[in-house]
Amino acid sequence: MQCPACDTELPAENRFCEECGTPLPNAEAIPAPESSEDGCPRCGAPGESIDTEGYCAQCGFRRGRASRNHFEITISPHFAGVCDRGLRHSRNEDFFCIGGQYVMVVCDGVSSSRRAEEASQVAAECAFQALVAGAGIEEALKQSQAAVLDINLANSGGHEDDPATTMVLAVVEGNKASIGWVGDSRAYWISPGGNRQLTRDHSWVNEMAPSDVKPNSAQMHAITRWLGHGAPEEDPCLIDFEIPGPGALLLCTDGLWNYAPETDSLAALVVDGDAIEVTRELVNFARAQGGVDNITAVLLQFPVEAPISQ
Amino acid sequence: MNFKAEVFQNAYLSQGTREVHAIMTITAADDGSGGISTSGDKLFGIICDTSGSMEGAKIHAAKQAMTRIVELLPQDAYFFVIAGSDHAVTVSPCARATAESKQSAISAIRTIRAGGGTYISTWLSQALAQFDRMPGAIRQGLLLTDGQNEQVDEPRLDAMLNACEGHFQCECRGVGADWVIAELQKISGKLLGSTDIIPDAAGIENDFRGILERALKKDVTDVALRLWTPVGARVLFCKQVSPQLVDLTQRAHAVKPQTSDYPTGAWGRSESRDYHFAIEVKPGGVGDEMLAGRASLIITQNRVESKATEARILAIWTDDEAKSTRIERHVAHYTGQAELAESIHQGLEARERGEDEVATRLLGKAVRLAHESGNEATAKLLRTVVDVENAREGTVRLKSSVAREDAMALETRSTKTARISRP
Repeated sequence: MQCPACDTELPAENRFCEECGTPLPNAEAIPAPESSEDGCPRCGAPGESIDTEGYCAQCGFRRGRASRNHFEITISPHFAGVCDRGLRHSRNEDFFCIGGQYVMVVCDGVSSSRRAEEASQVAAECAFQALVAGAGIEEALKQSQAAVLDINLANSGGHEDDPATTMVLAVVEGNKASIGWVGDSRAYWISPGGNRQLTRDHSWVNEMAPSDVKPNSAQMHAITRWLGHGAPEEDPCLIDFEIPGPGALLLCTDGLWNYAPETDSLAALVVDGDAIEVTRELVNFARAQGGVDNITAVLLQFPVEAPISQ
Repeated sequence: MNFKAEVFQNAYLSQGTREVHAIMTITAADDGSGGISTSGDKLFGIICDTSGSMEGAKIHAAKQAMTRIVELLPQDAYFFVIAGSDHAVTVSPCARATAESKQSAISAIRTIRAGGGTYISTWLSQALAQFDRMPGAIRQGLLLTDGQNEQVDEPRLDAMLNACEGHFQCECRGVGADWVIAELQKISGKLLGSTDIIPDAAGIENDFRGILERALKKDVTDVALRLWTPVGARVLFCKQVSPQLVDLTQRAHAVKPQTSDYPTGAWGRSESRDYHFAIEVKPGGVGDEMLAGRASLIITQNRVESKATEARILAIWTDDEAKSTRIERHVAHYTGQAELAESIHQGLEARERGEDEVATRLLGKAVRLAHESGNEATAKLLRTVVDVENAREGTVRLKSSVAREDAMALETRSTKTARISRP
């Protein structure tokens, strides 16, 4: 081949001109540094440079940080979700997985625990894989609990601040939704025919507080059940919900519902449009209200195959 | 024995911030659970100035103190004695402290006479030869002098210090007020010891006993602080900040790219020290988390390295000012202690030059810092140099006449820091 700049005759496999250094068309064929989970996305260091906690032995940056701050998944125009760090927290300890026909899992790492962002991710991924493989809600919760306990801590030994997370998960088959939850991440049914909160928070307010006591804000956010070390051994909370007609199933973390605690005020924010647009709007709403917590919203619209009405 | 490390820092940084500060507390403990095996042998070397200026009360007191030290040595320790002037004489070579060798050492000490000049390089050279006989032992030297090293010996002394580095540790003591602080600090700094004044020759024995007691409490030697930093990072400083300020920054020995060792010498069980790291890193974006440093304690025994403990220094960039503007209290405390020592050093220099106004301001600031941090020992030493009107505000008057020994004691001991109080 010939160099396009200086016309020097060159071996075909050259990537640069030996005479003038001009990059040849072959140069583009050099594989880009692996940006896979194996290497450091920041400096390109190979996978073996990443330590067990995700820190790169070359540049020091912790892997997965940037993408954890905000991510979106669109499965179809009717099925999508957004997870966002919000404005006040330094890391995003929420996580979600969606896919299949149709599986949704949302987790909120307990921020008082260590490596909460890992707990939420490990739990959500574990439950998602179990559900996609055909496991029931109860089995998925059980496996996630074991996965969170398995997170390898340098100096573990059952501490109160070991990784912990909430979870709300749903499987939809036909017009039947099976839903389970632990903690205060919620599922809602939102439709013109009426809105319903489908889950009941495992929270201090719901389960501990005498009815005549107005809780302070710390109590408001205290959860009584979670996945991880010290999780109370109680029967899981499961419900089956029959999809009554057109509408949407919304799963979200308290970073969203805290700003619209009443079901109808939250439902009013679930406008028409592509699921990804709607969930982005929900996240933007929470950010506009202050964004003090991480925010996750996942939406599945019914009928799931219908064309979008704008 | 075992080591435990704990890091205190505010990992949160505002956007664009590059400087990461952390205090690491390292505690050695013998909880009987094994861990690092202790070095068995202890070698104690006395290096005593016998130049002409020592003539009289000083040489008499030094001989008495050395005799006492030899008597106090436990049977399983090893020792040697060197007398130094124009050249060095090995009064008593490296030997186990048996009754017989003690007796012959004491007889030899009795024959010491003062005379000649001060050529410290020759003394250290002789000591090095003795210490190198027992490279696996805990090797502690003690150097006593009363005057200045001969000018002509300075280049040789510098070269000899480089040769001695890592071969033994040495405490330096100046008796009287005719010696030079910076000179002894150069030696003790390189050899991981401290420099102190013995104002009156009568105090030599007591001081020597303290040094011997501390030396006998050491259990492991050749301990290094190993610091890993990310690519592109720069160590702004690495200091021991408790029990005493020792700047180790220039002592870094590169192990490999990104990793340096800082010497910390020998450790005894139940000993605890604090270190202050300042690392400049490439700043990340909001939400990024970085391992800004990984500090570990490395013990080398029979040329085999083992890691005793490790701790991480983190950096997390945030847009939450409430988090990033907070100064961690250990970092704040030791930053204050370093400022205190620096104010004293510069204040005394200004006073020496006759710049009373500058001296008053700096020593006043020192009084205030000592008061605020509860450093009572330093506050007391400051009162020998200034009259304090208001400690809280740092208003002081320079004393019209100050004994040279008092100013020297303040200067040498101002590096002793107060430990942070529990919240």
